[in-house]
This record gives sequence, structure tokens and C-alpha cells, in this order.
Amino acid sequence: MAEVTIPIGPIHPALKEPERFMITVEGETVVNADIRIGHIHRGIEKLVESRTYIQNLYLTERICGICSFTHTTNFCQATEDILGITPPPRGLYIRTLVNELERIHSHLLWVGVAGHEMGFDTLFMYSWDDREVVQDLLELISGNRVNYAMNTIGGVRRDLSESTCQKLLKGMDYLEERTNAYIKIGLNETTILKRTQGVGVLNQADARKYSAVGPRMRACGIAYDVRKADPHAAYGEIPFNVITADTCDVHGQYVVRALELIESINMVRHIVKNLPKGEIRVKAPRKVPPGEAISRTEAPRGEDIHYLRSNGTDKPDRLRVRTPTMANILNVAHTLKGAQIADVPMIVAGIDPCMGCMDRVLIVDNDKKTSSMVDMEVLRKYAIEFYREAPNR
Amino acid sequence: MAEEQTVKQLQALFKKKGISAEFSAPRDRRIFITVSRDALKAAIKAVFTELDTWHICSTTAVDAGDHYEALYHTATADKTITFRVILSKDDPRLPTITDILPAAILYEREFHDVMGFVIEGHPDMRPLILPENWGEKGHPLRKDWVDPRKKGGGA
Repeated sequence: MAEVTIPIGPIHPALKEPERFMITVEGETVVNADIRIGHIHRGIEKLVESRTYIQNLYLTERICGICSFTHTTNFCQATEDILGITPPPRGLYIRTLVNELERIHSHLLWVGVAGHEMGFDTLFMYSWDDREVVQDLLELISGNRVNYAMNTIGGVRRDLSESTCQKLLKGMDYLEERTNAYIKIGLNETTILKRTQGVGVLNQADARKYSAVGPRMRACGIAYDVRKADPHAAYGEIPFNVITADTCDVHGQYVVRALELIESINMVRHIVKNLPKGEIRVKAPRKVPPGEAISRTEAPRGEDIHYLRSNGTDKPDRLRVRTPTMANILNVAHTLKGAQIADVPMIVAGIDPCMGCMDRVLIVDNDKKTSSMVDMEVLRKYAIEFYREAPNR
Repeated sequence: MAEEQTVKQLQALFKKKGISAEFSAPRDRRIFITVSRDALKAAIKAVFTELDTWHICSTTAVDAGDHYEALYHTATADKTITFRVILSKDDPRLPTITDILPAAILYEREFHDVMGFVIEGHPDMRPLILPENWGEKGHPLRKDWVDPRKKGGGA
């Protein structure tokens, strides 16, 4: 551990979170799990203080490689809040649209990752293939597949053309059909049921105790969604349901995410059909008067919160970012206790940690008093073999 | 405004419990409560029981020039409530709130890492995001912090 060199002042644990879990096992059962994060901490919270607001837009975009839009949305909303400006309705609708497209691509990605972790690579191939559809739509709208650079303080940077809207609707029809297939697979396919049902159970009381967020919390039967609780952008005007499950396990998270895909697809349709006319942005001053603001959004993985304080210059005084994985790590460490080693990848993948995070797992064998570093790939193969030998374990 | 009602409700509650606090509601769905260090836990407990909530979103440590601020962001079903504690620069001590909100454990470790707050009674004070061999290289989010590994300092 001490050899790990962190490139710049360690400030912020989000980004592509590389956390390390120290797992103490007794035979096949995990008796204790400890977490260590911060390995690729990039010091963005410190860096923000030496950049202008416009530069920070592009910096916050790079906090996460998958849910990049939610961070710029938060940063823009906090800045707009202090400035006292409101983007025009069309800008807010487009912002909401990209947010939902991002959720679709992230949830499809998760379905693939979950399939991969349980040794069901066919699911992985299909869902990532379908994800290309939404990636192409995002590229069509913004010119980029991942870091869209759509948000700006006071609105969005690119408008939607009529032909783009038609392509969006066509893409949604295709995705709805495919998502229905994934729901059917998730509810019936034995591989998924065996590897996810009863795995990583977090009861409702513990979900509250550890302040779980996002699909993890909703899979525990708590109907809490920031889009409803703190309606930002155009979420107050767009109808959607908060999806919950009551199984509290990884399967519940599969169900919640799959059904949320349908909700997001319907939201995209609603936005495209009811897109207000007019400007997409208002001009914002470069200097921001002293003040503070909190912005919360529902990222694909859960609640994302930014706290911004300004000091009257063109650079922020302090930006605090708390990403969803940071909030969910605690309950993962809790649910790992008592689990089988072979279930560790599923439980960890269940919260959809920004991948790349789970760099290594340290396995300490209590009986032999030995410890060895195992990387996730080895552990994944071990888990698949473990269940292949005796499928009814 | 619904926030003013909530503020009034909480003011009455705090008066009953003998907690002194300042309230502000800068916009809809946002409430800030400034309390003293000693009243922090009682305030959080009272608000959480009164508004039937459980969720702590995050914490923020701010270096505000002549003092520090510790902010605890919590959320109810439709509001974001932030508790603010103002700390002097030469005595940045805070009581741990992990006994009432276990989810705060990582955030309090981060408090110590980035701003050097001393969390009294915290069960596990290992560094969270700083490496173990960080030693006495300081707390990076303080405004006067210079990177000891760089010539001339600065981020």
C-alpha cells in the first residue's frame, strides 16, 4: 500500500474509483471486508480552484468516464443558482434528454458488466451491441460518444434538429424492444437467477443506516429518486415512475435497472414530442458573485451531489463532489460480510462501481494465515468455476 | 413557501430542546442551519427525528480564510438540509456523528485528510484518500497548503 504513488494532492475519492477491498475469509466465507480507496485520486477538487468556470466545465466532465453529463449538469446548476439565471425551457429539456440517454447507455453497460461477471458473456455481447445505438444517438446530438460537452452555464451548447428528433424516436423503438427482451431474460434465465437471487442482500434498515443511493437503494424497496425529490432541469414536467424492488439483492438491482430503462425510453419520447421552441441558452457572466449552492442529480448510479462556493472572481472558491459510488461503498463492505468469495464480484458489480475501480482484492486466508493479491479477472474466473462445479451450491 | 414553514417548525423544535441555531432558506428545497460544535449532534438528531429522515448525502470542509466551515448535507423526502459548523483555525475539533449516522464514517475520515479537522471519538481514523506514507505533508485543501513535493509549491 505504502508504495502506491498518487500523482497529485489527494483530495477527491470519486472519478474512476479504484477502491481496494481487504477481505478476510474463513474457508469460502468472507468474515470481514475492509475498503481502501484513493489509488488514482486526481485532486480535481483542488484543481478546480485554479481554473475558471468555463475551464471547470470541461474538468468536471472528466470526473467520470461514463456518467460525465451528470457532473457538468451539477456544476452548471450550482453556478446558475449562484448567478440567479435560469436556462430557457428548450435548454432544460435538451439537458434532461441527454441525462436520460446517458442513463440508458449506463444501465445497458451495467447489464453487460453483470452478465460478464456471472460468466454469461452472451448477454454482455448483446447489451453492449445495443448500447451502440444510444451511443450513436449521443454522437449525433453532441458529436461525442462519452464526454459530450453539451452543458454550459446558462443552458446547452447544441440544438436538436428535426431529423435528429426522428432518429431519436426510431432509436427508442428499437431499444424498447431490446429492453423488453432483457427484462424477459432477467426474470427467466437460470444463470442470472442462480447468480443474483439472494446474493448481496441489504435489508431496508441497513440501506438507510448506510445511506445507500440509486438503484441499490431502490432495490431495497425505498422509493427515493433525486429526480422526484429535488426536480432539477425539466424533471418536474416529465412524467415517470420511480422503480423499486423488494428483493434487496443483486437480482433486484437488475430488475430496477431494466425497468428504469423503459422509463427513460418513455421520457426521451416525451421530451422529443414536447420540446419547447426558443433559445437553448442564456449568456452568463464570467465572474460569479460570492455565494454558495448545492446541486443534486440522479446519476445512473445514484445521487450525485456538488457543493459550490464562489468568491466573486472567475474561479470557484471550493467545489465538493460526492459521487454515487462513494456513498455505496459502505453498504458493499457491509454486505460482503458473510458472503461467499465467489459472490464478491457480483456484489461489487451490483452497485455498478465506476469500473476500473475494483483494482485488486486482497484475500487473507484465516486458516493458513497467508495473504495474496488477486485481481478481479482471476476472481471472476474463480467464481465461474466455483458455480460450474456444483451449480446448486 | 414550504421552506419557511419547515424553518418555523424546526425553530420551534430547537427552542423546545434548547438548541440555538440560525436558519436560512436561500431558495426552494434548500435549508441551511448554522449550529455550534457542541449542539451539532443534538441538532441533527432532532431534525432527523422530526422530519423522519435518514439520509446523509455528503459533507464539505471549507477553508473560508479566517475560519473553517464543516458542512453536513442531508436530505429529506423533498428538501436538502445542510448543517453548518464554524470552526476557528487554531481549534478545528468536531465530535463524531457516526454513532447517530454510521454512513458518515468515510466523510469524517475525509474531513481529517483534506482539511485537518480533528474528529473526536471517531472509531477508525486511518487516512481515507491520502496514502499511508503521507505523514506530515499537510492537508491539501487548506488554502495555505503548498505541495511539499513540488519546487515552489502550488497545485
